[in-house]
Amino acid sequence: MSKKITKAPGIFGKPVKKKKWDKKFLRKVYLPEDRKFLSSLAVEKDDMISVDADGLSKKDLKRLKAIGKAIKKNRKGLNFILIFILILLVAGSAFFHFYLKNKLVQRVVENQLENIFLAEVDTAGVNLSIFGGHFSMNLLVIANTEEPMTNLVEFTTVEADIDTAELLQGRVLIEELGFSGMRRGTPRTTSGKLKNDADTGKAAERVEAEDDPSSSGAVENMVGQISALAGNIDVAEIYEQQKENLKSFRLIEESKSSVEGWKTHWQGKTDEWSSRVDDWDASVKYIASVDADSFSDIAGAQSTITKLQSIYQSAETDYKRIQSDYQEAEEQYDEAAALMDEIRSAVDADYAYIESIVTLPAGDKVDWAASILEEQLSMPLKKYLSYLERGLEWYNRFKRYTDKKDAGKSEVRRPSRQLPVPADAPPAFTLVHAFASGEEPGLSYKFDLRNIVSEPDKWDGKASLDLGIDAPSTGAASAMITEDSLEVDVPAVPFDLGDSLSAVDIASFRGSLSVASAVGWDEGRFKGNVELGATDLQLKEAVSDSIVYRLISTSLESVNPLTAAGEFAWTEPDGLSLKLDTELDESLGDAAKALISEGAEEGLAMLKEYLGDQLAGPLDGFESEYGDLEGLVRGIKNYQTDIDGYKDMAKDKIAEIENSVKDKLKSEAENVIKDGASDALKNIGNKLNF
Amino acid sequence: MFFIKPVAKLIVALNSNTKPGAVAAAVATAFLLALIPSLNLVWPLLFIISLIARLNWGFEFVFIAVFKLIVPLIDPFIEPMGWRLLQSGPVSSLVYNVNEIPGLIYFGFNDSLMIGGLLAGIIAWVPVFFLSRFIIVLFREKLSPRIANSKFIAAVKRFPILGKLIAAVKQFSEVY
Repeated sequence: MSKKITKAPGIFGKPVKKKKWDKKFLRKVYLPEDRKFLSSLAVEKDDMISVDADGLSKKDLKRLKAIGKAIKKNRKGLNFILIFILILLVAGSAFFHFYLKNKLVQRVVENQLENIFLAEVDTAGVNLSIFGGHFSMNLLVIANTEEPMTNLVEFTTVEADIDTAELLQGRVLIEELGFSGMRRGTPRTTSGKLKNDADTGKAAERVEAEDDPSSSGAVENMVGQISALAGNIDVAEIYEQQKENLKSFRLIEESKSSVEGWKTHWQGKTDEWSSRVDDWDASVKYIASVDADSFSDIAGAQSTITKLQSIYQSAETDYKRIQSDYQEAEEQYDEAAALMDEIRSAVDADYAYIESIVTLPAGDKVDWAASILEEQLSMPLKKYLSYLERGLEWYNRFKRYTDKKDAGKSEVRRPSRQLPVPADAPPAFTLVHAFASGEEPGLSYKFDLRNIVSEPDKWDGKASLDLGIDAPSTGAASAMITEDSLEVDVPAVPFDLGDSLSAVDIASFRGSLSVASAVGWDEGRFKGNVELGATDLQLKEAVSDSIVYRLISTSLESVNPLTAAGEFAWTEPDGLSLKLDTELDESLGDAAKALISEGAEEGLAMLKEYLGDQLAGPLDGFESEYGDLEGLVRGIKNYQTDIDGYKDMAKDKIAEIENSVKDKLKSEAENVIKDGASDALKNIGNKLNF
Repeated sequence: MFFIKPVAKLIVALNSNTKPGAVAAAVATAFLLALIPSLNLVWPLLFIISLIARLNWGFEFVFIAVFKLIVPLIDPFIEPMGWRLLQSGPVSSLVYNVNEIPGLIYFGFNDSLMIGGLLAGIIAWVPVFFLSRFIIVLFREKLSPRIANSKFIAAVKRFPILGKLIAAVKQFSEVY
């Protein structure tokens, strides 16, 4: 059995020329020990070198194999692994282009927009054609960070055309960027809130704070005061409070007491004179019974005359007494009449005093009400302007985001400098035209943005944003924003405040609002003016018979259409400030005055009626006493007349008797003259000489 | 330990039949790549060329990382140099002209750090190459046998981590 010969590894199997051995074998071994080991195995025969591996241990044979592999590897001209990697790179690029590219762009777009809008952003059908310079999306949905279950905006298609030649020059020239099928406020099936988004919570808190009217306390106060001024007067309470200040009641009481005393006095006197007159019945009958012609002699006549003279003297005395009483009674009656006049004056004064309590306050007392209500009623105007504020907030949020991004870049990058861009080079970023359009029920709108350029002095077109809203029911509205100004023209946009004015007893408030506004801005500050007109205002009462509602509705009717001129300014730290000058100041004040006057008149009438009721009893009592006194005075006067008649009656009867006696004596004398002589005449004369 | 294998491979490569020039070129190219900014087309282009040129990838990757750590210390010298060069008439014109060619603007030549790093890297490439090659040859012929037989290494072998490393080196060195 022959011994097995150990063969050298394949690379060393054939003998090679010495020159080749040195160049292709030994020079490809870089470790001196390995080179020494390989040289020790070389056998030279006929100018040829072969490797003798016979008798090598396993370890040395393994080392020889490794050296052979290293020689093969070091001989290679091409790196096949690298070629394989390059093939992989090409395949990977193709895979990226056809499969990964659009997914990557989609993710980048969503992430960037989520950082700006702080809400979920969803896209679909993203397609980027690098060589064609075209980008498109079939869906772009941006959630509303303040209302996570609704979308802020949604577009059915987004398309952009980018100039690739400019892109290869390091410049971005977007020729057309279009957003179409825009819809706002569409519902979401999942929450649009970003996970771990603290800013979103803050934004929601801010919105809640904005919705909470700070003047609600003032409104409640105002409502209470208006009601107190213009309605619900408690006349009984006012009467009780003011009774001490009413003079008529006290005067009536005092006057009544006086008249009652007088009445008692004259009642006694009347009774006395009544009795006295009754006593005169016998005398009157006696006088009436006397027949002046019935006397047969002088003595009888003389006796009767004496009696009648006595009656006359008595009548004369009574007459003088009753005349005195009557004068006194009349004086007291006049005094009572004076009291009556005084009472009437006091009652008039009390009515005037009552009127002064509920009469119209001064004009400045309703000015505060006007200003507070104006603040409430300017809510639709503020709501409109809040869109501008919100737009500016978005702009600033975007600006902060880009600033932060830039700041982050400078921290990471190694600082370096670049040569300035040539003055005649086109701008680095140009957006020639971007547009968006959308429709909602009864409303269509479009946005047209032109010439947004990083270096505007290198571009002919002026930057502008043209906003158009078209509502068939109200007409078209437009806004034009340029680099330094904003002009808004809104003929009429319907608004509905719902029950947001319930604090002032308005259940619903809607109408149309027209706006014409111009805004200018400089660094971080926006200011401008606005003219607003509200028409077709429709209010619904929240509380029946509400004074405040009547006040507002009356005021708005008087200024229909409601116009307002205002100035506003916006800065990031201070937010939006709005100063409105409306006709409401005057009209609301007038309406408040009118209503308060009306309320005061009603209240006054009620109060007067109540006061009249309260005065009626005392006045009636006084007037009754006064009437009684008057009756008594008249009675005394009648008695005076009666007694005067009795006196005349006695006097007349005396005269009648005397005349009768004279006539009889004259007749007898004439008879004696006719029958006798002078003696006879003397005798007659002696006879006649009593 | 995750770093043992790569370190062992580097040690093996340092002491293997790998061409010293390939290792030295990898170190010199790594220095060049570390000096120039990476967000441009020059960097990946040079990197691919270095891969094609059969340099030692392990050394190249490791030394790019190592040199990237120290280039911020060199930047204050490189950037002003690049800026002066960039401002000089011919270079300035050349850069403007190059940037006019579609796509070449992304090579980032209009950057003081790029120009300075590129110039410094090219100038330093040859000295770094020869220095690296000298060190590798010296290591292989003189230092490696002495280190392998030294009492220090025998003592160090007792440390658990270094023991694992040496075992890994042996495992990879058996290939040769």
